[in-house]
Amino acid sequence: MIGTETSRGARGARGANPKSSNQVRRLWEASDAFLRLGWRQAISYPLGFFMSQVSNFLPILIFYFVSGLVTRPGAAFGGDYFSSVVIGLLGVKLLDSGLRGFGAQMDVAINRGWLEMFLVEPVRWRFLPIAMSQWPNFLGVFAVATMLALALALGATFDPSGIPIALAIGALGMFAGLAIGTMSASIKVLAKSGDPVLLLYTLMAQLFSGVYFPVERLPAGLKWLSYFFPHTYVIQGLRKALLPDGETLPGPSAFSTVMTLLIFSVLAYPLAIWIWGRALEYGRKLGVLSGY
Amino acid sequence: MARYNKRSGGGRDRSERDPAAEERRAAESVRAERLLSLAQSQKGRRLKPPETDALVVVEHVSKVYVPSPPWMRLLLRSSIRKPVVALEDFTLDVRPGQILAVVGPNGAGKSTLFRVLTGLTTPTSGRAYVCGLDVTQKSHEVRRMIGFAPADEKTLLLRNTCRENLVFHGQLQGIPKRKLMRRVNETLDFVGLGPAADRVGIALSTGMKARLQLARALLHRPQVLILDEPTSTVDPIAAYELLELIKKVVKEQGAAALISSHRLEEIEALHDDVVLLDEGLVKYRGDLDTLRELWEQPRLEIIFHGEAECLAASRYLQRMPGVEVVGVEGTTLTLATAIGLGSLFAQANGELSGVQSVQDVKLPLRELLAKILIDKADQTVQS
Repeated sequence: MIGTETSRGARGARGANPKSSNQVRRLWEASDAFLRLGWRQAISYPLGFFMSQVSNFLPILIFYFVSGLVTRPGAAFGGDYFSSVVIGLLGVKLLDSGLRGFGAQMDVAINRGWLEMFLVEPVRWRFLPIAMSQWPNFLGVFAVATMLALALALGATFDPSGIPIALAIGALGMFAGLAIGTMSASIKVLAKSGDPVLLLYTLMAQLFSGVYFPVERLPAGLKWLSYFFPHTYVIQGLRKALLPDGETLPGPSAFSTVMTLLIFSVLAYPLAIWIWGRALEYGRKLGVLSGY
Repeated sequence: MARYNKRSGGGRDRSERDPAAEERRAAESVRAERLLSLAQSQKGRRLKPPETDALVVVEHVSKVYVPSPPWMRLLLRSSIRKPVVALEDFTLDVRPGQILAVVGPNGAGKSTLFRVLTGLTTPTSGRAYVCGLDVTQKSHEVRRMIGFAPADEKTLLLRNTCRENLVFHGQLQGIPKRKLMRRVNETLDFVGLGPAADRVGIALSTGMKARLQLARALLHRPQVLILDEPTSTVDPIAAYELLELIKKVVKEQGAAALISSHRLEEIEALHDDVVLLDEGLVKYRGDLDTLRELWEQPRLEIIFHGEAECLAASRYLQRMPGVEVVGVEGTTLTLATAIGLGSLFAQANGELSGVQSVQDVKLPLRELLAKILIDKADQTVQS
């Protein structure tokens, strides 16, 4: 006998009011469950996990040495090239964890045969993008913190007064990334495989958003493309906030960046969740949500 | 068996046109079109939930899988080219304390039925209710009422321990933290996994994995259990123990259970109702005893002293009206006959010599169901 406390009978079930349940608590519980699942999966393969974390240091080290060669006089970096490119790398890391985190978790769930069970559990489907992306987001923040520590140890210089606004830009950037990533995952749940559009998008973002060089270096005919990527706003905003001479850089101020990202997130996230919901409904109709 | 070879193509050259297969495909298309237009006519119609105590109610549910639209084929090749009817006009109800076994060959529609009930797919027409809630419109609420164990053990978190598996799903099921650990331990003990609670999934035996799947389905005390081939991979003893657990839960908690299985002896052991599905249609719904009465031809097993007598009797009985020789094996002759033992020996008039013993035998359920599916494919029987 395992207890009968929720055996309410059909009548009791009919009387259940789902609106009375605390949805924030349910979102928190689901997020906590997926965060713990991510951690347990990571420590199941300790060496692999350790090496993936160590690999985050590599770009910092590469650009530490490359920066010694970049001595272009009068170049508008807002500080030294190394510090500028570190901000680009950190910005991309943050955005990509938002952008690709949910999709990557979906891939794992599809490939390991878990998705069907996730969808059958009584978690509102609209909670899944946030809940399932908790672990990749945590890893993204952890990676940024460790990369930043290494960069500081190697001599990168930042303005501490810009840290609060930089944190706001980072958080909003991740959220904007999650919105785009959720739209992409909506395709994935129907196509049952990696999303080719997102792969191209993230590669193009690295080229056009000024990660390794200022956007101004792009030819005039291509420069306009950079404004289609949230990466551009995030990286520009972070540079303005954190580099000693960041305010002298062209482009909108750090505060404007915060406002732009805020408006983008407020508009894009509900749209992304609506698309995700429609995709799942369409998948139900076609009958493709199970049997992965 | 020819019927099933036709379905799979039987490895024949595609250029060989089989008129029967063509006819069958055309009939399937007409069937799909009819169901799709029925769905169109039902669109937007609001139906009142049924007034019944049944925990699961399925009313005239049909499901037609249609090929993906052209834009989606850019992302993924469609697995079907024409609409496929998976369920047609399917109706059932399952009451508290009842176990309903869903039986049928591959492609019969069992998994589609389970997907409809768990909210993973929507019916093309008709309605299904769990605890009075429409599974299409109240999918989230319905999922609270259901404990689902899919056939595939891959759905378990195999790198996590049994306890971690249940804690994870308990959190998703919304079990309050203060109750969760107690509930997890109770459930593990109930399915006999208490001593293996800290063992990782990958290190469990197949039977233990099946128990863990059941534990996961039971954790939030659902009112409806949907178990897709829960015993398909386990040995007969483990299967028996698992079914006993399911029977216990259903009896003690007043839950309703739907079980699909290919192991027919287990379905017989459940002593409850059965639905026989084939190509999306219900071929039989009722208890197994009635099924036997309707379909089974009485069988006799005659054991002779020697093989020669057995063969001679076989040759003689093959010519006797109302008697069918089902098998001859050594000194044992099996007959299907409705004329009764006394009449048989009276009609034989001393021709059956060397008889050692005679006994009635029960047709194995496997053979009985195959007989219904193959010989009477076009009949639909409701008891």
